[in-house]
Amino acid sequence: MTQSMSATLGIWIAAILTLCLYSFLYHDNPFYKFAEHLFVGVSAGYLVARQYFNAFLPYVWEPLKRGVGYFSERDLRQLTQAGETAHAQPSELIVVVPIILGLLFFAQFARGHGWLVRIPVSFALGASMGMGVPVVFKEQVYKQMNAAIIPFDALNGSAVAINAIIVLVGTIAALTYFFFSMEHRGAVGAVSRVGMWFLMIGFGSAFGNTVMNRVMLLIQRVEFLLREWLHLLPT
Amino acid sequence: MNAIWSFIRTDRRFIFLVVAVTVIVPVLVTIPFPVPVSNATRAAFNTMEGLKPGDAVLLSFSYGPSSMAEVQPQVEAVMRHAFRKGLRVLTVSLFPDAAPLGSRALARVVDSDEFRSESGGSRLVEGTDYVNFGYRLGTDTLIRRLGQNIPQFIETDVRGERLDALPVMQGIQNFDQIALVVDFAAGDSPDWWVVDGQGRYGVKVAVGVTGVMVSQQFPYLNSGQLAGLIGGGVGAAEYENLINAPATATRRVATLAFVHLLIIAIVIFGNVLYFREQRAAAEGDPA
Repeated sequence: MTQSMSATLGIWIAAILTLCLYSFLYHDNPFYKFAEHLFVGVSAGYLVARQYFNAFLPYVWEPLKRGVGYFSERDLRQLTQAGETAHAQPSELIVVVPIILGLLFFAQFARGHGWLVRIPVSFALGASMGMGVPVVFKEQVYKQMNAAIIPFDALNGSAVAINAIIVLVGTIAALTYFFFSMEHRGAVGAVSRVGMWFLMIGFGSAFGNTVMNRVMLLIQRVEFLLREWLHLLPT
Repeated sequence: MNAIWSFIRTDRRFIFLVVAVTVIVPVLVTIPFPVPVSNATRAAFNTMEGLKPGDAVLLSFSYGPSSMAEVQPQVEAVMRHAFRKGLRVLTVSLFPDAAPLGSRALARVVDSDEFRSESGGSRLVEGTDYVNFGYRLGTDTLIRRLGQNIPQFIETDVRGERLDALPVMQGIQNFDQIALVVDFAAGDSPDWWVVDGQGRYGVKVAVGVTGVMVSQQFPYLNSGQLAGLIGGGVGAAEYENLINAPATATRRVATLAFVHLLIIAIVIFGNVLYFREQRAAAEGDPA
């Protein structure tokens, strides 16, 4: 299969940048630094462009235009195609409120007006707490508590019951480990040590999964180099 | 032995070299490896298998290039399964860098041999069998807006076509008409879907996540808040085998197994030498 010139160029650039990044394993060098800085710059540029097209234009610029009744020729064409008429929609100007709130975040850079940043921060905190707290408690606290208790209905020696016992013992023991109002001696100390073991097993599992994740990344890059760049593997 | 240990200890790049060789050789020489299926992945498969043709499934992309090695094969396997079952596939990207990856997965599956028509093109039609909303701003707020009214909030697909004019969107207003959401994640998005999608609107949610995140998701699976959990590249390989379409992940798991064996061997080797050194030091014999 023949590739377009741009695709081939893209593969070469990706392959060289991959090698530049892995060259850090030998030791720090200018090629690695170049690839690292390029990655940061390209990522920032990509995100800014995405936010401009996906946030600023549809949620700031377009509502403002509709609010004041400013329509470009392209807008008029699209409205005509959709069978709609062009007229100002003053209700869209409500977008000015979140725009001002957003701009107030920059007040922290204005000498003497830094206090204004408290307004959007308070609004954001209040809104997210109001919308989130009830449902988060229900979904992430109460349902988890339920799940730790309910399976005991099925205590008949099945695997589900064994799992339920492990979960209950692990939960109580791990919570005891973080209970600092009593000295960790005697029975409390023993339960706390069991909790520590549960925590260590949890961290070990997370670390093992992290190693697996990183190795997968390496495998994917090696496959890319061998398949797309060097054509040593079938496509 | 001591000479080898001294060499490794003074230059750990030797370990990097051995890992590189252990990765390259199995990649070049494909070695089949058995992939036993976990209950978590089977739950995701069974949930999808239980849907009827014409049901709508929303695939949410919340990962990026740094996690595509694990998550992209999951996306392709689940997408293939959905198309095989004749489900309507809706896709949305919650993160900006997920959008091109989701589109690429969609293109690979839609244009694959399995869905090729006699005329040579794909028999899956954009707008009829599937729709791509592209990247949409808002993260958890977006989920809440989708739960209220999808066509009103999204308005157009990634090509600029109005959603209310697309056959694939007929009858779909909000999460009440979505049979299943599968979130492919490398960050916080499973929490958003569990809290806002499943908790607030009652939509069934399954997730495909990176290996690092698997442990955090099991409580949701145990409590029934998740209908399935595909964990990392291994989960992707399991799903590929469940749908009888072994592909990228199945190949990678074989290589992964060799690297894991190497890591275990290095850990054992390091410990043995460490304890030998300790014993030698205790006996007053500097190793």
